[in-house]
Amino acid sequence: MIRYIINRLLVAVPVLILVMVITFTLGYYAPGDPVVLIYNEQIAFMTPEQLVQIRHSLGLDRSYPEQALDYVTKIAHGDLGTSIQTKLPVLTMIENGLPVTLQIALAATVLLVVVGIPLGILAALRHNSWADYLIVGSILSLRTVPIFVLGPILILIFVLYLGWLDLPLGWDGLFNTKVILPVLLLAAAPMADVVRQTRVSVLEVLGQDYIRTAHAKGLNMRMIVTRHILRNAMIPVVTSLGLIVNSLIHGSVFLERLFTLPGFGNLVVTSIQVLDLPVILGTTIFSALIVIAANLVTDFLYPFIDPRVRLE
Amino acid sequence: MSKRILYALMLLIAIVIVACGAPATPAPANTAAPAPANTTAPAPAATTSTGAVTPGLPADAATLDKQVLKIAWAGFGSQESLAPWSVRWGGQAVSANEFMTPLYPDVDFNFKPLLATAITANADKTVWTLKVDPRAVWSDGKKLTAADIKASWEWSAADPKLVTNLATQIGGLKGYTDVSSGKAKEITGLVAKDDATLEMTIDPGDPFFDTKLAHYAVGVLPADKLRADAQYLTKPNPVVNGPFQVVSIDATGRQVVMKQNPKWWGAKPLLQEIDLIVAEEQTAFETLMEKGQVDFTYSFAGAAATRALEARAKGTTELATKLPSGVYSAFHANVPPNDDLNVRKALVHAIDFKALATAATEGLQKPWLAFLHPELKLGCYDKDVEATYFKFDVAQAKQEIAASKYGSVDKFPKMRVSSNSTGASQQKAVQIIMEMWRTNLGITNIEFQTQPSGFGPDEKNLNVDRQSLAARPPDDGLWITQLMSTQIHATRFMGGYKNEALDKQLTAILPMDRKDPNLCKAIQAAEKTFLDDYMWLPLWRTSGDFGLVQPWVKNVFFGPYLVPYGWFDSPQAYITNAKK
Amino acid sequence: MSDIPISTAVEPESVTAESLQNALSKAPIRQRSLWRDAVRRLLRNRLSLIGLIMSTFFVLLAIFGPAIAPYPYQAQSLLHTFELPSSVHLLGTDALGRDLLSRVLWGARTAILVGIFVTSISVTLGILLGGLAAYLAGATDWMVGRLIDVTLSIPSIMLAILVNAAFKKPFELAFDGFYQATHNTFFQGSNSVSYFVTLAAIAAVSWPGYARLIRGQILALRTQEYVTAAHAVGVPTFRTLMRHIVPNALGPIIVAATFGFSSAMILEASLSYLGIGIQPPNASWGAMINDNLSELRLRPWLVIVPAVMLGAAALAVNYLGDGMADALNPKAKEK
Repeated sequence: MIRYIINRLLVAVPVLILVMVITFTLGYYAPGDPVVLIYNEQIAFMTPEQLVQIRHSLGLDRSYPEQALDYVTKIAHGDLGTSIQTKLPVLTMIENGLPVTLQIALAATVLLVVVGIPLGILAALRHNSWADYLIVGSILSLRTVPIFVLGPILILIFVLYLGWLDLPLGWDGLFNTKVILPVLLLAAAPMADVVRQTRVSVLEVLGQDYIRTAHAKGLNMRMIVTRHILRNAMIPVVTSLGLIVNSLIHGSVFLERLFTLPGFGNLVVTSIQVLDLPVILGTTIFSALIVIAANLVTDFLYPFIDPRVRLE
Repeated sequence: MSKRILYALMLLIAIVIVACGAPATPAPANTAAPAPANTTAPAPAATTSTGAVTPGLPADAATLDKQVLKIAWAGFGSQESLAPWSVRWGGQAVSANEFMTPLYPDVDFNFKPLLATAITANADKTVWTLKVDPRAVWSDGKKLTAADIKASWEWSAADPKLVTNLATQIGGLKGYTDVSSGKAKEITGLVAKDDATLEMTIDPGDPFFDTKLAHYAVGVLPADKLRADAQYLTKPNPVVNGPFQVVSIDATGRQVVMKQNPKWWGAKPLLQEIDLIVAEEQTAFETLMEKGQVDFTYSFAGAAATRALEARAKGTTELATKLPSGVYSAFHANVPPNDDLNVRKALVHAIDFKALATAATEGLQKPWLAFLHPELKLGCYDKDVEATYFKFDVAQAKQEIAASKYGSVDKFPKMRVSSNSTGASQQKAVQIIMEMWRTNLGITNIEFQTQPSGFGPDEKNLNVDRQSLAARPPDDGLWITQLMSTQIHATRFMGGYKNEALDKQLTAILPMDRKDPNLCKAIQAAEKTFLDDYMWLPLWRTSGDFGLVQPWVKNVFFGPYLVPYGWFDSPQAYITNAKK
Repeated sequence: MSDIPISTAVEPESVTAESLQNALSKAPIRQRSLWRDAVRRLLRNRLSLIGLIMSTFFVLLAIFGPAIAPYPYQAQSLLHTFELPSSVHLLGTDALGRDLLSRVLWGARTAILVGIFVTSISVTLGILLGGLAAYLAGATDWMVGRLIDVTLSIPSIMLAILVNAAFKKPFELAFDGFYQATHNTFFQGSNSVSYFVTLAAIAAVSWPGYARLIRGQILALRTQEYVTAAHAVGVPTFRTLMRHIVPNALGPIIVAATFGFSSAMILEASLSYLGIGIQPPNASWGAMINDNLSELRLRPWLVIVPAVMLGAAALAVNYLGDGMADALNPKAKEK
């Protein structure tokens, strides 16, 4: 078991390095001259010699492999570069934003597990009934509306038409009514994944012989569900943890803009809009780091839940 | 086997708890100041609102605990810095209340003393003397001196990201460009004669220099603090010299709480607190106002304005600055195909500017078919310009294409246009121009980006982008010189556009006496020289930017600088007891 | 369109011809009529029947929509902006006086194009790489695994943004070259480029989901008796893969592919919303939503119509996929 864990950790390292190289390469070919972005209007007052010197001092005149190696080495030392726009270290900006996003995302994850899995099981147990159709239909409809449309619509409904709450703008901590709407919205898209994957795998389990045997033995449904079905229902959720995290990051990019949240997603969308390349690359690598961590968790949990998978 | 699941679940829960706890402990900076007023709780009105009125309060004013002005600002992105010269959106409201300028303009463009008690000039307007108000102090109790002003401007000028705002105001100071280009540390044109006297030397002379010291970009900052920490202004409780002070600010600078500066030396405002939030999404922005969650909103004209006009029927008051301004696009000089005068003429004549202005602004703004405004002070507007230069005539446009060196639009290289804005009206305007060029001239090889940087390395081949223009005070001479005479506009915006004859005319206009009978003729001649180059695509002219206040807010108005100066210009600004 | 991978993956005859599998399979009789059975089950499920009908409708819309559109998608009528639905403009007009119905019809083509193109490329890549990785194991598995990990670990929206940015210039140059060579106006201007860059960016982020799924499925399936048995009697690896593993793993892949189909459409909408997807004045439902989102309060139909179309198309494919997943799963509970 220990060897398995070490193995998985060792695999994560080259992945992370590859992520950095690929990200850097894409950034290298992306539009936007760093010198123009940094010096902006001042360039109009610069001589060509000055520009050459600036390129040299920024290391932009070096070859691609040199720059890529330099970038990866710097990250290894915890240096993600400096934002062109705010002139703050990218790492500091991420540290500022991440706690906000993480707390909302975790609240959304709890919602996914607590609501999503039971709904999935219910839909499977009532297969092809109206309950099944209702659950699958409504959850899927929710997913097919992009968050940047769903958000304003929910705002109009809950804040303006029903008047249930004030418009939640800004961040005042997790334990505040302000987070209700953002968390609901963030959970909306991955909810469909969770419900559907659970439903499919429970359906599969229900068709297995041992369930029939259990039925035949007269075991009541609750026992069957808790003993056999629940465990199997966990498998797809755990395996798609990385995808869920991916979906949560996607959601927060649009969500935080909508609710003026000073989080990670806001950082991403701002940097894209002003082409702040160090921040774009830094946030990309950092979110990859989060997904890799989520995948490691999957790897560690997987053998516990599905004993059919052998540990190498 | 079931134990395994149990372990797995426990592990999962443990991870969730650890992950939850980790970020929760090093709490974000904003929790340091959990301003109670920020929780939008509409304080129980019954107990206090009818209570004893504090002496000196207007009769209809709400009690002091309710004197919290909540502002929502439309904008996007993080606040880079709350320094006055680089502010975006709501940051202007913050810095304008923290860092005072020597003078300030009231809503009718009368310039009034603020940090300075007087600003005087010599005969040729090259040497100006500023007297600092003896009462002026910083919030840490130290006296504000002439040397502080000099140090502040020197620090601001040396910011590597030189911003048009500051250079347009004090760029004429001797030695300014040496500091802004990093060659020198000191602006030689600034000399602190004593604690209360600052001597400013400019070259060339400028009869309007004093009015430029009323722009928020020249607000006086604590330079020594900024030298020690460049991020000083985005942190809570900075040392300020204005009536309000930031006590809480989030990491992106989009959620700000300001409270009264206890050491404020001017007239005491009634407002106790100002809360500012940025809303990036239109629906959220409108909902705030419609729900009555905020007292004052600021937005750009367009769809929001339409809604605002409708909201007015419900009691909300619409505010607009009295500053005439205009939105325009311009060709970039020397970028093919508009390097050919005939092409530029054709492209201008293929646009129906009247229909464009009406459609893009939903009829809220007036079409602009000349360079000068009819609303400018000197009244030099010449209505003949419209028919001469901005006639919508497709047949003529086609002839001009044929007369150009390209001969036909098929020979045009790819064109690039940008709205230089994410504003709805601005984007619509550019799309309308593209469609008119497509249907009227058959130009299809054309790309649109909201930001010029979206073109990447091809930004240098940008054909058209958009800017806006306003002059303070709204004087025809300043209006026409402001677009072209500053080196920044000439080299950056219009892609290096140069016209020496025009430059000569403009240099002559600026110092001319405003009562000179030849002034208008000179201005109109310069206008024609400029328009003859067909570099310019007017979009619409506005009567200013746009804001809304709730009916329960009194004496808040737009200053002429986009900045809601109301609450300290008139200390009477307050929330009335009509607020629920 | 979603039944293409099924019919190419395995044919009914070949399954029945494989006597070995019949002998080892736990339910040989049901296996024999798997496909007929599946269609029967698919049609019996009301949701998937609805999905099938709606999907067909959207494909027809994508093919014939632009032909029946009353106006060109980019034609502006500046005197008739924000018009309510009328006999002239059946769904009214937008801020620039463009006919909403025409733009919705053109947008259908964009959406279906994005869905089909992205899904088919990424499913093919996924099956190929995922299957090889799991079955060959060893170094192949390691390498494919890392490639999957890298692509999967960068959140799709961010990777798509980066790929979009990096691909734009090379695509532009290539298109310019094609235009110089052929003088075909298809290659001229930025319109086609923005389509291709967006499609490539979405495809580049979509494939690893399938690969990983296939790999995971195979890991679980290959411990099943019939696979072990086939291996034991010396059936070649590739044949086992194609004959036994892929058909058995097909259910989850179809689920994922239908999700992928709608995800691709929604990702395109998201990119367009951020201003980096399909460029104006091209008609894409996402860009239309973005253009009109600020009008939501006052003129909600301008947002609702494209959003409902996007939602309905995604939903139709999802329903169909869900039904197929149930129908194709031989182990699913019969009701």
